[in-house]
Amino acid sequence: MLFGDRLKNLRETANMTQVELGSLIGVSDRVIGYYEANTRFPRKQETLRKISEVFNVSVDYLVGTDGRFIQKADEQYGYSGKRQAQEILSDVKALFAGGELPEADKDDFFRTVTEMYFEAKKSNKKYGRRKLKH
Amino acid sequence: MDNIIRHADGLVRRFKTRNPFEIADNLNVLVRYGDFEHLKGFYKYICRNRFIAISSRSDETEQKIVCSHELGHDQLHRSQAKAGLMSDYDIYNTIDVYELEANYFAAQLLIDSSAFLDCASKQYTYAQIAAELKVHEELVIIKGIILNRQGYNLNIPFVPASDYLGESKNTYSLCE
Repeated sequence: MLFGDRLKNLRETANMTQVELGSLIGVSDRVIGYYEANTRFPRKQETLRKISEVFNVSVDYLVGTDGRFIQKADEQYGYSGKRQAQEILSDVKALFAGGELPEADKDDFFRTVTEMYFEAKKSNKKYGRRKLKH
Repeated sequence: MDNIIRHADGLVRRFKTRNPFEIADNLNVLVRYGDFEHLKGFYKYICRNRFIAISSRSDETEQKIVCSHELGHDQLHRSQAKAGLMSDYDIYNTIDVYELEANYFAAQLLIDSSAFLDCASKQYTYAQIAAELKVHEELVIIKGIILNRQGYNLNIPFVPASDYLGESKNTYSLCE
């Protein structure tokens, strides 16, 4: 489950509309829609803290593995890193939704892909564009 | 189909080996292992880097086959993988074609024609040839189909489905 799905679940269980939640945490309803569709991730820690206070859950639960991946990419590589991480996440999400991947492997699959991402970024930095060995 | 066969032959000639791990290394494709239970492996293109992931729970033979299969995706379907088409479940049918092509590629890469014909001349069954050459029976049959296209007249018992790596043992090979 991704950040947006968790947010949507929490909001719907609390019987709240996107507009209501938006006014509580100080963003527009449209932005809430983006969060829930997993196309955007909150930029400020403060927004995350406010959401966690509204629903009375921990920030850690709210952010989850996928959120930590985005945050780490954002920290290390800035805006483009964040966008790349979100792109990878939406790929992975499409695959999960396709139902081809068994439940037991989802976590390992996600972890492997994120490890690959950081390895790729590291080797890009180290060598620039790599030449073929032959 | 002919270009798939030529491509696999070309790689074997170029690197003088049929070992998919060595070929992947030479082509700058990074092979990584994951602790997958059912998933056998996948191919992913991330930020100008090409990755093959293989389940560390598979045995040596299976890892070799999965590596060749994913290498086939790298060589034949990299542009589709870059565009993210291969993980798109809306175009289900084309995915099957890609899997089939990767299996043909793996069969041609792993199995030497003369070794195959040597076994066939001894009246080995497909299961015996598979055991002798240390590959899956399905790949041996695919190799037989390839040789028939090249003018031989071998008996083909059945045509393996494109997802044989997935179906036969209730396990999955994904191209992402």
